[in-house]
Amino acid sequence: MLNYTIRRLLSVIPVMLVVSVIVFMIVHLTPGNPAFLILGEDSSPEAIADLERELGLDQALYVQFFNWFSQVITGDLGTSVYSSQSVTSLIAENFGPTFSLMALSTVILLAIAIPVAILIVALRKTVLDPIFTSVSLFGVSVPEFWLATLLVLGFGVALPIFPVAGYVPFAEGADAWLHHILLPSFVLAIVEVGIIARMLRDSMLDSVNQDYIKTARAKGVKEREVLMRHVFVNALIPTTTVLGATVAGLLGGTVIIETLFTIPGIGQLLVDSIHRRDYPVVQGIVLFIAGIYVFVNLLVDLLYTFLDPRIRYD
Amino acid sequence: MFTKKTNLLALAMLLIVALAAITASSWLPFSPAAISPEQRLTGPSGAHWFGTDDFGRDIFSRTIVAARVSLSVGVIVAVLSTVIGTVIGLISGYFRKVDFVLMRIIDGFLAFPALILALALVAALGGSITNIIIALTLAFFPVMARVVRSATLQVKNQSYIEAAQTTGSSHAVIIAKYVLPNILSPVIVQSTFIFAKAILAEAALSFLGVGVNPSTPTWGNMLQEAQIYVTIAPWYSIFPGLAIVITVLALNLLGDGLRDSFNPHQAKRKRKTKLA
Amino acid sequence: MLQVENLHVHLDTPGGLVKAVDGVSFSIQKGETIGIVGESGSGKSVLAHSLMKLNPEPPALYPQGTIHFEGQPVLEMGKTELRKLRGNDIAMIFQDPMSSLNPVSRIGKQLIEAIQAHQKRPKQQAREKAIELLEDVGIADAKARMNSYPHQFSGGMRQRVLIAMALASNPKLLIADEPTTALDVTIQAQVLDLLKGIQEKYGTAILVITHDLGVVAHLADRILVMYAGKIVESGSAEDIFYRTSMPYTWSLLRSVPVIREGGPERLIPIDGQPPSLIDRPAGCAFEPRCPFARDACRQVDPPLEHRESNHSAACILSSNEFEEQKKQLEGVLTT
Repeated sequence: MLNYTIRRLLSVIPVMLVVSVIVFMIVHLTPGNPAFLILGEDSSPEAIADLERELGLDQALYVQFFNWFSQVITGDLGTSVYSSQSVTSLIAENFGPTFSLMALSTVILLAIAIPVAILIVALRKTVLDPIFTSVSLFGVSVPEFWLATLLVLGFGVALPIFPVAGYVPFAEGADAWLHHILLPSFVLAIVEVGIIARMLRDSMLDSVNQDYIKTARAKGVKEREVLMRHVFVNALIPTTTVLGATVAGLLGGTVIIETLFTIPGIGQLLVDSIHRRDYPVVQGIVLFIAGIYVFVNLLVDLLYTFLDPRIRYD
Repeated sequence: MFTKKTNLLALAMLLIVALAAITASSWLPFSPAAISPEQRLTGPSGAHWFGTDDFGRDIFSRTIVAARVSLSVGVIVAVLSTVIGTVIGLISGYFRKVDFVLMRIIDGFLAFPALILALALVAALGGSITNIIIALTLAFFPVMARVVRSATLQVKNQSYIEAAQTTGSSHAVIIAKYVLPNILSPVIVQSTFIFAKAILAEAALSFLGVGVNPSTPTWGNMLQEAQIYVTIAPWYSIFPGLAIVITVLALNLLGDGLRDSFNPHQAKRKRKTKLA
Repeated sequence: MLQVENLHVHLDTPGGLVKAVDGVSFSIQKGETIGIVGESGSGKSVLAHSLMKLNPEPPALYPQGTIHFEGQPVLEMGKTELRKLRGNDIAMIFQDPMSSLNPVSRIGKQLIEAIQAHQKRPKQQAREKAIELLEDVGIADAKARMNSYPHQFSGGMRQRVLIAMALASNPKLLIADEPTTALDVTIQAQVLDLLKGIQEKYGTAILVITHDLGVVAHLADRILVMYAGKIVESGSAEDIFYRTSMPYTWSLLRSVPVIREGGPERLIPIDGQPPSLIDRPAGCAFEPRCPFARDACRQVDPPLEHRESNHSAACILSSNEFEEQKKQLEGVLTT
């Protein structure tokens, strides 16, 4: 267990190194001169040369990477060309709404997926299963932004229950915060619900046929307790493995949802920075998001080994 | 039986969309580019089935024509990701020496949510169709590489591969003759899913304003333009969106169906309870 | 205590209706040990599961027959009554101790669950009882082992844990479905001794289901031989082993390896496959594999008939006829 934990922790290093190279290369893929692109067509050659020096673009590629990487290691992601603010502080300022969105949508996701999966397994051989399969298939086939648009039409315009845009920080009142963020979080969650619920259902159906379920029934344990204590708990373990993919989906989705609902999170900052050609910010955010993803997957893997005693005590 | 029926249904849906897009110019009621300012944002009617947009253009015609770009991008991305992913996956699964390095690189790519990676790449490369295809391919090939690698590892341990190795066949021959044919089913299933995801991702990029040139009708571009008018002309958003849903749904249905057909044992096990 | 009358159990499978149990009657008295012997697919497991209505429904159907436990009709019981029967009056242990325990739940927790399913005891008391049970089945250092997970136990120890679990509510009948099949030979003997010990200590009736005549020879007061969903011979161990009256039992005995001085005796497998239980041909089900078969066997399916006191067999041949023919055939086979 300890061995595995250490190995798993160390495995983050090569991955983050590759991630850094990719992020670095993204900007250097830019056709033409980045300084020229940033400053625009009618800038003077002197200004371009100045910016090139400032960004270190006049040096060899590997030197540039080394300089950039040694800064990144210390938490310095560079400076925004647009606002002259440090990228790290920009991300910190904008992370609150994104975190709120992800946290609440995870709660909604589990609050829907778990009961749905349990219900499906408990009421096997009913019409519920094909309906569920169709709905979850529909869920992964629907563009998030389109679904969001329809929901805005429904609950923001036709029945004006929720605001269609904007964000209120949690500190300024939980009510207002929830009111603004509920609809966006719901959209973000609903697309991923099918994946989790399906995985949970499949694992539960696998578990239902195991011998230990027969043992529990033969003991005279109540059917409801068999389902919850044995079938459900055992199915949770394999289900954690798809959580990583879900987090990726949520992170990608925040970019769209934040843009659509004008929520000032890092997703919207990313899109805005792309339009402003503010490459240091783009680079910083993409690296940050990949970092979160790697970190969450690390947690999920460690959680998995913790949940499964067969691995924990090896 | 059920899966076969759904496979056919999904295939039929896809063919209808593709055929409609290819033959569009010969039967469309309106030119997708024909502007008529007096007909701005009119709702669905006998003449304009899906209504008109902010330039008075026929949304039905534009939705059909947009399928060309969206489907082409999807197909090309699916094919390229499959080819690149399969080559890398085969090498990685077959030659253990390069496996570690290749897989760390793939892990690095997989650390980015596909949409974020594509978004950053398009931002850097610029929003032409070619660049979008490159960006989406880079976003989706790592998944294929992983799938192919694990399939190759399974096949590699089979005795017929060992037998072929002892008779002195070259690695290239073994891979082409014995490994590749045995990993085709997961590859086909996965490429169907990539096709579906690429269509969704292309639409999302266009919607975020970094996609295909806004003057080209694509489903994503249409939805992006429709966004401003969503309260006064909801049909403008609804129909192109439905086109995406139908196409992607058909692809996902096909992928699921193919997976069940290739894996009848597993599919059955999931549906039937074990006999005592 | 337990009466089974003309029981039929069908399994409604996609391939057709499987007549897994086809008109079986027997009874078990208090404290008695009964063995049911048969090849896999003979319906013996389905029969055992039926006694506490544990076959999954669907596919299982009970079109005919009754099961009474202490006068109560088991097949007509509702959920609550069944729950009270299971584990409390009748307990069961299964073939594969590796997979019959929940791999992610502690041994102690699973034992306590079995205790609390039928007895309203506070957790601490249930815990003490669980430790007692583990000691009873011969688990050393029981207190510490309560916190172990199944994978930390050997196969034999897991079977002991399952037996402890089955004893949680002091059941009147213990059904053991192939209790030793998945275990090493040396461990098999230990588990059988444990079952015997339990019988003597608690007076529990035991029903052992096995394909291994050796297992029941040690344990059972009475043996039922099952073939193709029917009981084809029943009697005491002596009846079955020394006064065999049914060709199937004879074939089964010959297929058991017996180790003797001067090396193992030749092991003679039974030719052919058990019949499909979906479309039963007319006549005796064993006829296609029977070395004594004659034309009449293809038409008549002989019922289970009394031979001597408690010995019954289902064969067209009388015991004496069979004895003669058997001697002839054995003579031919040995020369």
